[in-house]
Amino acid sequence: MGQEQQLRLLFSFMFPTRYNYGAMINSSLAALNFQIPVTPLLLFAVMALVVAMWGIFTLIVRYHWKHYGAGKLEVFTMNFFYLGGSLILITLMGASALFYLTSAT
Amino acid sequence: MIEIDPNEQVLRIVRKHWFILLGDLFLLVICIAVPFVLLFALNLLPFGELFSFSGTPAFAGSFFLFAWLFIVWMIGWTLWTNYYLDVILITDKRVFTIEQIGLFRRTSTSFRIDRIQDTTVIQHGVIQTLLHFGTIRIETAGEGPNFAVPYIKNPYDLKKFVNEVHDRALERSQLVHTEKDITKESA
Repeated sequence: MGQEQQLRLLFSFMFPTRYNYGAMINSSLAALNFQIPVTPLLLFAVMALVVAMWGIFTLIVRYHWKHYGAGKLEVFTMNFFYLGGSLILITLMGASALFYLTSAT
Repeated sequence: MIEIDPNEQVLRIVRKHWFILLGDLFLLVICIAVPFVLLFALNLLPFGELFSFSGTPAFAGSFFLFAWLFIVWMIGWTLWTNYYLDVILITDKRVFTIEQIGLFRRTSTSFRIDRIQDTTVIQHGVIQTLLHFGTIRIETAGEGPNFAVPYIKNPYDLKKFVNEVHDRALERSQLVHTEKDITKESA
C-alpha cells in the first residue's frame, strides 16, 4: 500500500463516513471543468507584487528605526540582518520562478 | 533618534522582557507551519485538480513557499519593531516612556525626574517572579497621569535606579536654591 493510500485510510478512520468526499470533489471539479492556470507570468506578477510590498514596508520600518531607534549600532545590526535575510528570500523566490519558467512547456 | 535635548544625558534605556516576545514567536511558528499543513491537506484532498501547471509543479510550490515565508519575514520584523521601540528612557533630567503600537501609532510621554513622588513595582504570578519582570508604576506630582509600564525586565533594579537619579536631581535643585540664597545674603 502506497503512502498516500495509507494517509487516506488514516483520514477515513479518523472521520468515518460512508461518503468519499475526495472523489465527490474530484468529480464536481471535473464536471465544472474549472482550473487555475499556474503560468510563469503569474509567478512573476506575484513576485513583483510581493517585492513592491516589501519596498514600501522597508521604507516605513527603516524610517522608524532611524528616527526612534535608541542606538546607532543596534540600528545598523537590524538593518544588516533585515536586508540580508530579505535578499536571500528574494533570490530564492526569483530562482524558483526562473526554474519554473525554464521547465515550462 | 529619540527627542531629547542636546545637553541632556541618557543614563539608561530599559526594554520589556523577552518573555512577551514568546507570544509573537508562537504566532510566527504557526504562520511558518501553514504551507506545510496545506501541503499535507493537498495530498489528502484532491485540491491539486484545481491547478494546471505549465512547468514543474515542485518549482511553483517552492516559489509560493518562499513568497509566503517572505511575507512571514515582514510580519516578524513588524513584531520585533513593536518590541524594540517600546522603551523607558531615563536621562539626567527626565523619564520618557515610549509605546509603539503597530507601525503607525506611537505614544511618547515624558516627565521631569524631580517630579517623581512614588515608585511602585507590581509582580503577578510565578512566571513574572521567576523571570524577574513586572509592572513599574511611577506617580508624579500634579494632576498629570501616572505612568505604568508593564512587562519591564528587572523592575526592582529599575526602581532603585530611578530613586537614585531622583535623589541626585533633588540634591542638585537644593544646591541651586542654596546658592541663590547666598547670593541674596551677600548682596
